[in-house]
Amino acid sequence: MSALPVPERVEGFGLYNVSVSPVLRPSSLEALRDALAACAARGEAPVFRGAGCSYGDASVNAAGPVIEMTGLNAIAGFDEATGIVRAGAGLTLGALWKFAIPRGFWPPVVTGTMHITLGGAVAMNVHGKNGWKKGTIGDHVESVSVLKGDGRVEEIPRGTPAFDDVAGNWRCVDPIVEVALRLKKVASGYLDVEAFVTPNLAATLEALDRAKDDWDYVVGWMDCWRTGKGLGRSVVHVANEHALKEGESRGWSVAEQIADVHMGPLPAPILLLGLRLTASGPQMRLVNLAKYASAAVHGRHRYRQSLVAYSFLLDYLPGWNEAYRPGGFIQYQLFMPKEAAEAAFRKALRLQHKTGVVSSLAVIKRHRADPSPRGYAPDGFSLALDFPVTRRNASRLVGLCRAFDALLLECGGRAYKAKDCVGSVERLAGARGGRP
Amino acid sequence: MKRVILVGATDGLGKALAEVYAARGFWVTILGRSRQKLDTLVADLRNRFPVATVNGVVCDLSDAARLEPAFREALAVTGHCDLFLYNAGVMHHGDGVTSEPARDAEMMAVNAVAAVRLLGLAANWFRVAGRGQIAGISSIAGDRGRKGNPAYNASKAALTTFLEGLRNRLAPFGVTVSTVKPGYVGTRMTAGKSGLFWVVSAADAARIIADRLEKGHEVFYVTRRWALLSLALRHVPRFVFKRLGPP
Repeated sequence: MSALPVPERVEGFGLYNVSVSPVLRPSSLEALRDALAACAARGEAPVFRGAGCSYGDASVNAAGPVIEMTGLNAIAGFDEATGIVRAGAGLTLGALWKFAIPRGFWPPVVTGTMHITLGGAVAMNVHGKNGWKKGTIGDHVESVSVLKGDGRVEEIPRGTPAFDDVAGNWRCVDPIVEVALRLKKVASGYLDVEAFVTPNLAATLEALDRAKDDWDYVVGWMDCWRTGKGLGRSVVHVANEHALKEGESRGWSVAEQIADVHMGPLPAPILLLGLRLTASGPQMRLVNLAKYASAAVHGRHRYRQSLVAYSFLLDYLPGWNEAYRPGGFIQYQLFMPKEAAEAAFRKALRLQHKTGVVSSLAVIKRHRADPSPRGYAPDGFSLALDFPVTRRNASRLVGLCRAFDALLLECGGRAYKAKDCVGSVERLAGARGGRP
Repeated sequence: MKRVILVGATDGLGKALAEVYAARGFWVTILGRSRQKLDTLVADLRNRFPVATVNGVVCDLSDAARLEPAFREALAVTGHCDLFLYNAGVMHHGDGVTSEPARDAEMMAVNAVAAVRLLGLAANWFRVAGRGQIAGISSIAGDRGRKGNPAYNASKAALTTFLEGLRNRLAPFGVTVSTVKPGYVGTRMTAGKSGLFWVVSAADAARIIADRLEKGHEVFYVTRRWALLSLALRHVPRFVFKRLGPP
């Protein structure tokens, strides 16, 4: 029995939630069993961590042990006919799409970063910009294999109560070791993207709702700084699979996918420096204004973009979250039923203006209801708000988050563990008399 | 976004601090000796301040073996920690002339030795975490040894110096270490004593302490005017202090 390794700093993606934990990094099932035994011998319950892309405290463990699952990343098999890939829980979406696209497949649901692991995605039951059409990743998982306490691996097919107990269960005791995911066939590796602006909150929600059946991907970027008549104005991006023209490349190669990813003429270090200087300050007001204004000036327009360039916006500037040090940042994602959404989001925006803590980046999406027992998405909208944490705003920010909690309770909304940095999921579950 | 672990909060200044932090909606985890007192306080704070997240961890500071498990338990229920605040302290009033070795040793044990143990654990955690704040409620009493209660003075002097050392050790790692030096605060500790002046209520003292800690102040007196008095006290020559020094 080996002792636990020396504790090290482990952070959530937002860098606000931090733990000092011995980290075990098994690269095989055997090593995972040993790691679990080492934790059990110390009498400590480990937290399982994928790539650590959950914003909050989901993958940190105060002073307790953390088992990082990224080593179990083998692709065990792929069935070209059904599109079902069997892969280790530690496989990242990045590795998965690079495997899938040359074969004409694409993951059915992807997040804003490709660095997440499959196991983490299933444990959180993540969603993407196609939340209305495709739901969460759990809807496309055929089976999950977990390592039981007695050391054997059990495969759990979808549609069973045991499956519902794993998908979306971020505090699952038995680690997910393998996932069978049904990939989606794509004729083209490109999307036709249409961008336009909506002048206020009502127009934004209406545009998202109207686009949801005609477009696969629907997302809006909201300028939270705007008050008055333009409250809730947004830039909306909708996208469908690109209709291939005669002789046009299908874009099935990794090189073609990556070729579309570019951030403009400035080199990354300059951009990072710029972000560091602006990220935590009121300058973000100008950034939001510029984003809206340039889209408004451009007018409604269409362009072709690769799946990678459209999907993984968080990866354009690697290490951007470091710009938020030392305080880090938090995200608060409000899921609201569609009837309550407009009034609730209006209130959420006004609360920000009242407290003087305004989100630097806000993303709005349309979701279909997730009927699974651990589902977090009602039929409605979600508004994801990023807030830097600084010494100046910390006290006000915690008050704002508590006001959001109350708003969710009042309107029948939900919080989502992958984004939760301030314990809202647990608080809401407690207030509703359930457990998270 | 403060997550505060508060050691010694079932009474006096600590309780007032817990109330201030709970009122601000923070995560407050209280380490206290008596399960019953702790449960009462936690329930009270939860009822009065529903925006806060309040937890209690039982920890008898005189039980050295219990300190590390209690610290880890406190961290686990708090998620992580932004401020570790050591407030536990005892003061025994004697007759001002007779030493009472057993009670003096207890003051040293709680005010200094347990502080060194717990703050040391916290220091290791914060150093690796690379940020956060450690604070100790010391006292102006630690600035000079006085005839009235030498052991109390010594225990607070030890805490002050220990915190100063920690501050210098942890500064390169982005951790702030603060020493709070209250004058007279209106609590059970000072109740019934004569000759008090500049007394501040526990609630006001707690509010001042919370505000100044949030601003990252490293050494400060509560209230500010005590800083002046302390400056003077510290410069009274030994032979004068011996004859005329305060009790």
